[in-house]
Amino acid sequence: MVRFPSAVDRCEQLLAPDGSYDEAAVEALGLGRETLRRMYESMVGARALDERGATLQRQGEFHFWMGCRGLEAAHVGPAAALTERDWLNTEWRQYGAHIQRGRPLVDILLFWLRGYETWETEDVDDMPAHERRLPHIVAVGTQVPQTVGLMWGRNLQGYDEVGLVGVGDGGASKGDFHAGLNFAGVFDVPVVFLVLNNQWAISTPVERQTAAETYADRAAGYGFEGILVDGNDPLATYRATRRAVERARETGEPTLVEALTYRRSAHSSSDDDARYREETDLEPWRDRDPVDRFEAFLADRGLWDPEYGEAVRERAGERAREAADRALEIAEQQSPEEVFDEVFANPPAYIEEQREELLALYGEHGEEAFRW
Amino acid sequence: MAGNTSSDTDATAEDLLLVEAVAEGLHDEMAHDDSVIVLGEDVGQSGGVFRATEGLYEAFGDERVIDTPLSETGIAGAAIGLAASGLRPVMEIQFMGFTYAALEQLYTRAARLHARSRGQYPCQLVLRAPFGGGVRAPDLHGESMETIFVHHPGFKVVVPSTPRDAKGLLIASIRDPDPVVFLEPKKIYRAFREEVPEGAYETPLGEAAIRREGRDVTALTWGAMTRPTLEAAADLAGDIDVEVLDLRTLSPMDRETVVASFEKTGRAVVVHEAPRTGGLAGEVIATLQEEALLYQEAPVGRVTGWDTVYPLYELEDFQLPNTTRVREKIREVAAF
Repeated sequence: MVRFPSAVDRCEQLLAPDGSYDEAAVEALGLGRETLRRMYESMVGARALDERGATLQRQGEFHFWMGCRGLEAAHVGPAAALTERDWLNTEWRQYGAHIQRGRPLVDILLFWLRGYETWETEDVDDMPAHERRLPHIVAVGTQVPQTVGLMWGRNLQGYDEVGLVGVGDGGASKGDFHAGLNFAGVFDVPVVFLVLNNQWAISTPVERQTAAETYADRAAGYGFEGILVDGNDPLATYRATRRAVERARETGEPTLVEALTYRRSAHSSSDDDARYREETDLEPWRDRDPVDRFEAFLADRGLWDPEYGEAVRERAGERAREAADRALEIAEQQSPEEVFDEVFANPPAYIEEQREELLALYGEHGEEAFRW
Repeated sequence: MAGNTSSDTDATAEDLLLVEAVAEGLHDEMAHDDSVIVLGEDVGQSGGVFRATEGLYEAFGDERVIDTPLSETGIAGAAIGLAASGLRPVMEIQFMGFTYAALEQLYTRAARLHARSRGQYPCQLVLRAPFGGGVRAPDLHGESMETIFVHHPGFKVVVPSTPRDAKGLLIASIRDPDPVVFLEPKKIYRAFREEVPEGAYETPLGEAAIRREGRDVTALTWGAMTRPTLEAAADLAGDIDVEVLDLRTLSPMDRETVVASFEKTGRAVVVHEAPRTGGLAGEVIATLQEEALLYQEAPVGRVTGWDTVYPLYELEDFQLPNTTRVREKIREVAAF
């Protein structure tokens, strides 16, 4: 059974699906023109990147792609509530969160092409916001206790930083989710747990993940607060996360924020969602599109007109194209000796021996012999 | 025991049991490096179920000696994050068999964090766990899982067999920048004392120890099996001259010492508690085949745990290699 934010009384919302809003609540956020536009541009940027990635996957240039359509408010709003020194560990498709933190698009795309990530800044203390993350992990939900450990350690070393970790409704079924929230509650670790309830884990609907009405309610079991928000409302996701981040910074107390949303794309480029849902299922969620909703709001505030919107979309498309071209170019430069790079910080001799064995074979037989 | 231990009767203040050497190693390295922290179940005030963390809580307080909830997944996940934050966590898994619950964290992250971040985040953590059988404990308290960590790329695997090594290898493991699985043979936690140097010192990883020199047969082993292997060698003295190698580090294995010994003897027996099929004896034998085939005089013998679901209590005695089994296999290999 699909869940709609409007059907749950306690689901926080600032912007209604048609863009109408509670003026006082919006004023209370104190968000300036620049911040609001930056959030909007991150959402449009994520959508453009998603479209580019999907196109390149269809063309055979990318191996695999995961879409984020309709999830932009759930991704961007929480990231906008972090300060420069906070940390962000995400699940697969939170492109907008990284864009909001200033991460270069080419860097986001290279994860999909090379499977590893790189950093510019060696010293953690000098890291800019977008580098304050662990590499993406494919093992669903395992990032939850890892983020707790990371923030616990930063805290023990005297840093006043908060971590935000994203996990899906599927990931919240893993034992790692429980372990992470439980540790954070017991040890007062300043982490905000963002459950991105998009109601699908590949083909499995949320009612097969939990019999509970909300994920936010789970927080009570860990001794801290849970907040349920309309995940398609960028100001609601922003406000709840900001409240949670401030509390974490002041008291060390964690918070669970559930963003209730809906995955409109298939799970991935390898998934055919026509096998498990109807096209008509998507209709109500198109009406709740977060980008449309934010545009209507910004227009009402005098911060958006069609010309500006068009310019933002055009620039986002261009940036996504350029980043994808650059990422493909960089990924092409990979060579066989890299296979052994960084497996160990202090590599045993056999790593070098195996590298030499591979390179000798490569030298003798050439590139073609290795391509399947 | 071949000059490696002093007897209980002339114990001095520095003579320690293996479990005491572990505790002292943790203590001395924590005193030396304040980024080292210990976490696990019952490691704090209680000092650990085997007392391997005795005295740490009193010395370093509850910020550095942390009693965690009962969750191996949580301990491993938190330790990984703590390592990424720049600390050097030593996580205790109370019995190695409880590590099953933590494997996803360990395999998918601890072993890969360095590679997937291209060196940005080392995963400098140590997983300490009492391992192996022979103490009449319930199910999952007698597992020997070293092979799965040797097989999975990204880990180093260390097994001490004496108190002096336990302290030095543990400190070297804590200082190593990669994740190290440090397996403590609980059967010999309190079996004998040995003089252990004071203060922090390292016994280098990746170096086997020759526990007894011999010319006829090389017996290779580690952990608690070192004792029955040395006893078998002593039984055979005068008849068969057995060289006993204690591998100490299982990954990376000291192939040089292993191969050099085999080149001398041409005959070998590998002894381990873990089940035979897919066990590390196979890896030792493959190494000998690859590097010293022409020295080989006899099939390499294996004395291992059987391929069973670990049998409990009285039946343990039939599962674990013992002096008789080792001795008879050495005779067989020597007579071939």
